[in-house]
Formats: sequence, C-alpha cells, structure tokens
Amino acid sequence: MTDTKKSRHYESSLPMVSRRNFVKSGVLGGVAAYLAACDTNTQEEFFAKRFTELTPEALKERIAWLEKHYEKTYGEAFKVGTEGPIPDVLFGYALDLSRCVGCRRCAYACVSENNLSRDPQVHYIRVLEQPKGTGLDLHLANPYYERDHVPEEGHVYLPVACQQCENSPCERVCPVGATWKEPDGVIVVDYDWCIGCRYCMASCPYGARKFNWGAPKMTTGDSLAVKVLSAKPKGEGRFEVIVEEALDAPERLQPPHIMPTVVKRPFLDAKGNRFMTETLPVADTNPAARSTTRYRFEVVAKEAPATSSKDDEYGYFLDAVNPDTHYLGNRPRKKGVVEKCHFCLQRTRNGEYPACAEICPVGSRKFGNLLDPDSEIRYVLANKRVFVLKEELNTRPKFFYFFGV
Amino acid sequence: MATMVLFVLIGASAYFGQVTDGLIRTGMRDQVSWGFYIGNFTFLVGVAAAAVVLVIPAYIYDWKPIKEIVLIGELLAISAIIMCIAFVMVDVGRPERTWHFLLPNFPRSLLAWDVLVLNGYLAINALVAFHIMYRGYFGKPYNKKWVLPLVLLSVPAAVSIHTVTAFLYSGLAARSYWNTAILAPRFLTSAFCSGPAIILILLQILRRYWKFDIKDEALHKIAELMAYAMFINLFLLGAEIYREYYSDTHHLIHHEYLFSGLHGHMSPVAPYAWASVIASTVAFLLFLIPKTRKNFLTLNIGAVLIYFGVYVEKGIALVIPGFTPSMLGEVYEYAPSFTELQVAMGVFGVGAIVFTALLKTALPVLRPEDAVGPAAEAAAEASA
Ligand code: SF4
Ligand code: SF4
Repeated sequence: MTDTKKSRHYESSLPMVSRRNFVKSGVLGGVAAYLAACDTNTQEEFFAKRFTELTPEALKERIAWLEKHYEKTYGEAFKVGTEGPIPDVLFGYALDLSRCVGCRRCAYACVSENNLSRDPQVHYIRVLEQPKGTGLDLHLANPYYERDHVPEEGHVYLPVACQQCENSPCERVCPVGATWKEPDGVIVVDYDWCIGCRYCMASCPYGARKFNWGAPKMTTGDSLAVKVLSAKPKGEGRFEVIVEEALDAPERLQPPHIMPTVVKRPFLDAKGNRFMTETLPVADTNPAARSTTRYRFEVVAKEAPATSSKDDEYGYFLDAVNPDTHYLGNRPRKKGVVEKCHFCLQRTRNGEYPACAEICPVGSRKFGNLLDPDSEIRYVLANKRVFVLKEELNTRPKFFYFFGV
Repeated sequence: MATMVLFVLIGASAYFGQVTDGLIRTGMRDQVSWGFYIGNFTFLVGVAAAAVVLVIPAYIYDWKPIKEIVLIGELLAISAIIMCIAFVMVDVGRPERTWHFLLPNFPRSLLAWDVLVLNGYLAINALVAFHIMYRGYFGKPYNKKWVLPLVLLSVPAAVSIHTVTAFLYSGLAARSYWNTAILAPRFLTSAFCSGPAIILILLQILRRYWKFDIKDEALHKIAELMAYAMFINLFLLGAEIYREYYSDTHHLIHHEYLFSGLHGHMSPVAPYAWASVIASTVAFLLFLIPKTRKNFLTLNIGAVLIYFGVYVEKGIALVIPGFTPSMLGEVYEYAPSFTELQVAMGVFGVGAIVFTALLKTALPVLRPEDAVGPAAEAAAEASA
C-alpha cells in the first residue's frame, strides 16, 4: 500500500540514512547473527506444544524463553502476556461508514501496535475506496487509492479487517488446529503451531488472513518529520517535550482530531541522538493552527533536545517494535506463518480499546462487549442501520457496519 | 537419468533459496495464496487416482491384456503420490512443522483428511506392488487371497483421494468458483483422462525400448475408456459454463477472468484456458473415432493433447481464477516465478527417478526373460 503522506516523511537529510548504510555494510554479520538466533528459535519451536496444550509450568518456561529471545533480537525488554478471556465478555466491533474519511490512520496504528512487518508490508486493515452508488460491489473497490485529500468527492470508504466470524471457515479448515476461536469470540493463531499451508487464507471470505511471505521486518528506519516546540527539564535527565506534526488535510477531518499515538517510540534528532520516550505521547490540541497536531511526552536524555525551527529537524520513528505483547496477539512473528487481526488482545483483555478504535480521528470505530446490554456497541446494534459483509455466507461476523448519520 | 538428476539438483538449489528467503521467492501473495505448487499437486492426485481405471477391468473382469499394465499403473501411482506429497511440502511455509499433521484437526479439516487418504493410498499401492514384485522374484504367483481385497480396496481409495482433494476446494463457500457440487465429478473424470494418457505413452516407450509384450488391443481399449471419460469431462465443464454465463451473477467474474479478462485486459490465463478446451475437444474426437484411435500417430497426438489439456485445467485454470479477483475484489495477476518453475522441475525429477527405479526393480516380474534369482532358475529348469 502506498503511503498517502509521503510529503511528511523525510529520508535524505537525516543521519539515520547513513546509519542504515552502516547497517547494510554489516549485513553479512547480521545475517549470520540472525540465522544463529533464528536457529535456536526454530529448534525451540520445533518442540513447542500447541498453546492450548501447554501446562501452566510449561507455559511459564516458554514465556520466559520467548521474552529473553525477543529481548536479544530487538534490544528491548519484552513482555509476552497470556491474559485469558475475561468472563462474560464477547468482543464486538462496529464501524460507522457515514463518518469514515479514509485517512488510513487505523491501518497504520495497527501496524505499529501489532508489530506488523513493514517490509514486506503487512496490513490487517485494508481501507477500500468505493465509488458512491455502487452498493457494496467490491469488484469496483480500490485499496490503493492515493489522495491529497480524503475523503474524495463521490466516494465512500470501507475499512475491512478480520470480521471475527462466529462461524469461522478459517478455523474449520486448519488441518493442524493452529487457529481457533477464544471464548471472548476472537479468532487467534498460534504462531508456533501454524505450518503455513495457507488453507485458511483460501477459506476466509474477507481476505483477512495475512501470510509472512518473507521474514517480517519491523524496523526499516521510516520516520515522521516533526518539529520540537519546547523541552522543559523534569528532573534527573527527564524532559517534557512537545513536538508538532504537520497534517495533510486537516480541514477534512472532523473535530475533535485527537490522535493519541499508540506505541512508545524512540525519537531521533538531526545529529543522530536517540531519545527514548518515557511516557505514551499525549495529543495536544492546537486551537490556533488546525493544520498541525502536537504531542506531549517525556523523554530520557542527558541534555534537552534543542527546539527546532524547521519541520524536519527531528525524526519520530514510525516503526519501533512494541514490546507490550500477548502470546496470541502481537508478539513478533516469523516468516512462513499466517497472522491476522486479533482485536488487539494485548490491549483489550486489559480493558483498553484496540489501537484502531483509539486513533480514528472521526470516531467512526466502536468497540465493546456484546454481552453487556448497556455497552455502546449494543446501543449501535439496537438503534442504527446495521449490516455485515457477505451475510449470505453465514459466517456471522462480530464486526458490524452501520450508518450513524 | 542424468537429466533427471540435474533437474533434481536445480530444484534443490532453488528450494534452498526459497527456504532461506521465504515463499516471497514465489509469485504468490496474499491475494493469490496458492499457485503453481498446489496446481501441480492437484493434477498429480488425479494421475495417482487414475491407476484404478486400469485396475477395475483388469481385476474385476480378469481382462487379460491389461493385467501387467496394472502393475505399471500402480508404480506410477506410487511415484505420483510421492510427487504430491513433495509439492505440498515445498508449498508450506514451515516444512519443519509438518509433523503437526500427526495431531490433525479431525474430522473438520479436509486437508487433514487429504493427508490421511493420500498416505493410505500410497500404503495400499506400495503393499500390492511390492508383494507382486517380491513373489515374482521367486517365480511364484502373487497371493490372491490378500492381494485381491487390497486391490479392491484401492479402487475406492483412488476415488477417495481425488474426491477429498476436490472437497478441499469445493467446501470453501467463500470461493464461488470452487464452491460447486460438480467439482468432485469433474476431478474424477479429468483424472481418468490424464492418468491413462501418461500410461499410454509410457507403454509404447517400454514396448519399443525394453521390448515389452504389450498388445495393441490393450492400448486401444485404454484410449476408448479415455474417450468416454473425456466426453463426461467436457460435458461437466459445459454444464458449469452454462450455469455461470446464463445466470450472469457476480460469481461469473472468475470465469470471465479465466476465459477473457477483467477491466478490459486479457488475463494471462485466458490463452491457456482456450488451448486446454480446444486440446481436450480435439483429443476426444481423435479417441472417439475408431480409425484415429487405432492409428498410433493420432493416438499419440491425442494422448499428448489430453495430457496438456488436463494439466492446464488442473494446474492453472483451477487454482488461479479461484483466487482472482481476490475476496476484496482485487485483481492480482499471478504467474509462477522462476523459483517455482525450478522447484517444480526438481519435484518432477524426483518422481521420474522414483518411477524408473521402481520399474527397473519390477522388470523381472514384467518380463520373464529378465527374471533373476530363484525365478530364473525355475524358468531354466522348466525349459530344460
Ligand atoms: S474474517 Fe476471515 S480470518 Fe476472520 S474469522 Fe472470518 S474467516 Fe477467519
Ligand atoms: S496456514 Fe496455519 S493457521 Fe492457516 S490453515 Fe494452515 S496451519 Fe492453519
């Protein structure tokens, strides 16, 4: 998928490019190291049991091993959660088609939250641009639209990811039982058990399952150009930093455009100094200039980042790994296995919203517990014009579309 | 033989590259997630199943001229199944985990069933073939008491491997192109064409170079059976085409991709699809008319045409249009990559080597003058 926001990415002016070259020159060593790391992993996984059959002790051992392995591979402390389904919860999702503007922020938030491969690109969410008046004839949809401004006149936008079917063909066909429905209704994949036969991909009516054709790469050095507005000391090598990101088509975005970023990201200045963000960035509305979004967060550094005059003196990494993971959710995958949307298990089983629901600038995404009569999602189902995709296949999706206005 | 070894080496090195880099070396992507490998697998299941075409008349009606041919058919089935398994192995993303098949998702997954019936079929054929060869080595007839039941069992087993493989596709409601009840019958009839087509040519080669005693009558009988099978095959294809084009629903789009193209572009599979239909029709006529059936030039042209027709039908025209356009309406034009072609070459090389080796081992049974060991001594005694 092509990025609609190319203009805000800078590539050539920053030292991280040379850093990338450095990485390239060290590729041989890297490959050797990677293979060595990969081998122990492959060995370990060769004997790994299916998640559902692990005894509590074996699971503990496995998690400890994985966390160490990921830390070694990605240079960051990892948490691999095993939170189980919450009793009396059945997750459901509803998306307001009358609001969606097709900005694809959900798709990219998903990429960074769920450690999706940036190269080759894997996207759980595909946003389809559809000419108005063509109903839901997906053969006329375009997932590759590139627009300076969204929404484009005369078009509607239909984001599609896994529909978490109650009657899921993918789970039925898997020859080795590597994918199943959890009691909270989420279809999960055991990445250590999947053999990569791709039968499930053939069976899924929504193109929701993704295969790792190559080794997934999460860090490619892509970053967002930002401007540092201020950096105030907060004691002991910590600074409160406010950065500003220029927006493409803010006038098209309906207020309030609050966009909390999802993952803690490293932060790099023009000299190649790396700052590690300490808190999750919090969006700051900037009432004066609707063409920008500000983020406030704390960084750990010896000295304060200098404030900048130009838009692109700092790079804000888009593709750092997210070390907060779940065994059946966003932990790093490897080549040759299938993966898919899992409603951000690592977040939702801990009472948070999925990344896509949180980032949507127009609030078109509603997530909640279908068993709770007072939930927002139940309100939507009861009061709006709701439909599901490909109803005739009897997959019984728990992902609903509706027209809010 | 040296060529075959070379094929295998080329295939092995291409496969090594695929294991190192991942299946990204192939032309497959999320939109078309199965391709040339699975197409070949499907075709070869048909070849393996087709051994029964010869088994049925030979054993049930004790029809003499075909009897030795059956052993060759069984050896071909064994080699074909080995190639089938190899094609699945090169297609999966994590081949080292295929042992997980030992803990299958029974009875829900058709792929789990497929693994079971393919291995069962392999076991039955191997058992029968090796028993006949073993007894033949000692100059004794095979033990009818337990060969016959096994052979009878191999008939439904052959039907089952191709039926289960068809069900694997036709059970997917999401893919309207495959989700049709006549897929299994179509699979069976096309298999009854392609398998014997290979055997027809093989037998003539054996007759010429290894001086096999194979009667013309047997070859013509096989060709006649193929003509009937091809008729039903074309009829079923026509029924499918009528349904799609006359009812003209959204599902037609896959047939349009197959025979013409979408959005004004000719699809890369269309020329193959037409060539396949034409080849199959011509071959049917050649085999139907007694005169051309009994003429070895036209017979062989027909066999090659049938082989080509069915290979395209199963290897290209079945898998690719099933995936194109994708579930979200996207047209990804799949073509096998160089790696895929090389790996496939390697797998066919392995199959050819296995088949040749089996055939050489079976020679003493098939040809009395080649008998060795106890069988030869017995023969010498008898003539003295
Ligand atoms: S949308 Fe596809 S991947 Fe998701 S549950 Fe349904 S069949 Fe499975
Ligand atoms: S690709 Fe993996 S999850 Fe999908 S059917 Fe095959 S083994 Fe199961």
